Amino acid sequence: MGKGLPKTKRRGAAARTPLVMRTTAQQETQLAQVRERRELPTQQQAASTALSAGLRTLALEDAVGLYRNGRSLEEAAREVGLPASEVFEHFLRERIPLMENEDALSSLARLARRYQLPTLERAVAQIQQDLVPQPV
Amino acid sequence: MIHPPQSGAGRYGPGCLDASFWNAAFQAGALGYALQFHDLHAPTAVEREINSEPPPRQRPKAAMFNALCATGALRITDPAQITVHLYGPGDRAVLSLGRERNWPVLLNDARPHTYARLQLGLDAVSVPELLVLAVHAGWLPKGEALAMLQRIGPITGAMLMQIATLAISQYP
Repeated sequence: MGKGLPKTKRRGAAARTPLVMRTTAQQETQLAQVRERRELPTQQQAASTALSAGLRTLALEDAVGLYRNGRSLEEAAREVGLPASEVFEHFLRERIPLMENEDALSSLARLARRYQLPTLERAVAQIQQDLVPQPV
Repeated sequence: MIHPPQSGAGRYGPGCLDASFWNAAFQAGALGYALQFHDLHAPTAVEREINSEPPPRQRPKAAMFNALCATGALRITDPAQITVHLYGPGDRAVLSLGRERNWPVLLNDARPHTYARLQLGLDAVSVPELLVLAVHAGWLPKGEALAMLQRIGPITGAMLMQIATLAISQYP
């Protein structure tokens, strides 16, 4: 028996793409397939993240609407299913007033007595006086 | 020497803490003054609200709350009965506890704050009001109080902002 492969086979093999080149081409195809497989979940993940961010934004807007319609911040946050601290931070970013007191002066006068702060009592009296419209 | 924290350090006795106040006071950097005025008691519903992020996440303000609870500087106290049936569970628990024990309520949400004052006749303290009190107690310099007020300016109504600014500025 002759050594190695028969001549015809050896010739046929030589006629096809050289082994090294073929391997490189296969590797590139495989690599492309791997990349494709990898990119698909990344794209799905990005889409899912975008969807989740969009839903969060909608929920935050809903919370603002609920608050403006008479709920407390806590109630509004619970109704839209978000943590109250996250809704609070949204109010802060969007400059939505959470605390107002139309009777701030009388509240402060009461607190001045409660906490026995005479300088605050005097300050409130002074502000009251300054805010009273003066006769022209 | 490190002194252990003492409960009962609040100079004006106990006060009921709401999450709305905690969030805003943390934002302003004014929590220390709240603790100086009152021994703070928060109902379980408020504790849950502050820790509403899924574990193991903790926002910095939740971490501060939990650390103060662990040292005893802040206590979890529930009302014997929920007697206020408005707003969220935390709001209801704070208003019920304040009503039951006649303690001041620390709230920074306009509706429960108004309800506490006008319907329940309680002393209600918001964060802008706390800053005014801390200045007039002689603890907080005026300039710093105004800077702290600015930090919560975006969530503070125009009227309260103006009155608090004037009251702070009037301090001799």
